[in-house]
Amino acid sequence: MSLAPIFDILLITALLLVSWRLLGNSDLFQAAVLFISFGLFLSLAWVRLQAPDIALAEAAVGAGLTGALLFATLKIVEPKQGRSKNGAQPKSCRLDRAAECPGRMHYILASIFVLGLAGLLLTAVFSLPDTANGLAGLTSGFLAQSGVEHPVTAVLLNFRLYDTWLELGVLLLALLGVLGTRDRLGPQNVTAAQPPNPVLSWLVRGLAPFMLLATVYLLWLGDHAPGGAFQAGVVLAATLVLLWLAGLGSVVRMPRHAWLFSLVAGFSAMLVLALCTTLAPDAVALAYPQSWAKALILLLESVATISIGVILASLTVLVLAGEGEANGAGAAETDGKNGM
Amino acid sequence: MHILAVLLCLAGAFFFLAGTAGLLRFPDSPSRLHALTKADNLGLGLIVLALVVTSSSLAVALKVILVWLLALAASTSICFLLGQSMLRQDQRQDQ
Repeated sequence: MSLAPIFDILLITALLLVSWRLLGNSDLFQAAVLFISFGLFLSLAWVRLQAPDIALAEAAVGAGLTGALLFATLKIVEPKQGRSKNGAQPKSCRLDRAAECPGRMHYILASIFVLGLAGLLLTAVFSLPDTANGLAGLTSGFLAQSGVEHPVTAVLLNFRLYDTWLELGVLLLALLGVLGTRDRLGPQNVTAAQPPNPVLSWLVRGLAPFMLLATVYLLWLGDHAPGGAFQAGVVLAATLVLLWLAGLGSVVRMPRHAWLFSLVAGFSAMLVLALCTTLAPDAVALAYPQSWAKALILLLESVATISIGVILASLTVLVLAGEGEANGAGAAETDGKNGM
Repeated sequence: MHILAVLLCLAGAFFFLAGTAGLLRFPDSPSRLHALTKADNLGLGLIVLALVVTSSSLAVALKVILVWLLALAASTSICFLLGQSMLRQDQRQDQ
């Protein structure tokens, strides 16, 4: 008997248990920790489903980067939460009594919406055809023409390049949103909440070369195995954030022009490609000649990796630094009150 | 060779188990950290040794050892950083 079914059952149980505890937890810190472990279990599930590309992305983005962003947000939210705890404990309220539960209409509306969505999802699952290969056959059929040997990279960088293009646009928009709320033009001269620690600097100095090596390796691996621009970009972003935390040169010390250029490089490279391919006689936009495919994919992936890395690192640095700025502002406020 | 690898793996798993038990059962954060880092470093080291014994080539063996060294450096430093921030928090509460 093989051990695989037992492992699968344990994994599914763990996923359900963690998600139940995650949603039912009133302590936001515990919920954030549980979210990270949920992401790790989920990436294991992707590995079991033989989708290592998604597993890598889930572990890096879902568990790692989102976890860091959640903790940073928590640091800003938590002081307020502590204050409300000193006052009145939030009571559990019964939905059938209007007086006890002022916001009950929201709960009822939300539960109707969630139940409707669950119903739709269930009908979608049950109406799936019994035997479906999706587009897998089509992809492997055209794989030889794509310029790379790994089907996922072929889809992301050739067959459906516009998906990747728009994803880079979404990342840029997210960064613009964060810059807007922080009232800043960039992460330049943003300092970490804690002064750089010598042990951390030592560790990051040792790790950074290996992480850069891993970035290049993942990028190159995308040609024939799971890997590629997104995974490499996330590793690059993690390296840049660690360098910033250790007080070493990072996105905050980049010259403004270089920073702006790295941000838009990935998106604009594909924009230029789209323009060029549209202007060519009888060609479809973003459909490039087969003979150039390999070189173009490698170029686009390298540029996209730099963009993803710098955008995600700037995003994380700005959100992480937000806690320091918020605390600083809070301290200044209380000082002012004491002065009065 | 195979038996040796299995024994090393089991020994490593034992240290992981001991570390997890310590993490769950020890009363305060410093001793929990102690249980976690010490046991996991040794457990990982034994499992890495098992992988080295069964590895097919020198390159693979060296790569696995490199992974262990990086994990050692990272977990030691992170243990120190966590301990330091705990100390700072205690000092803040005392004030």
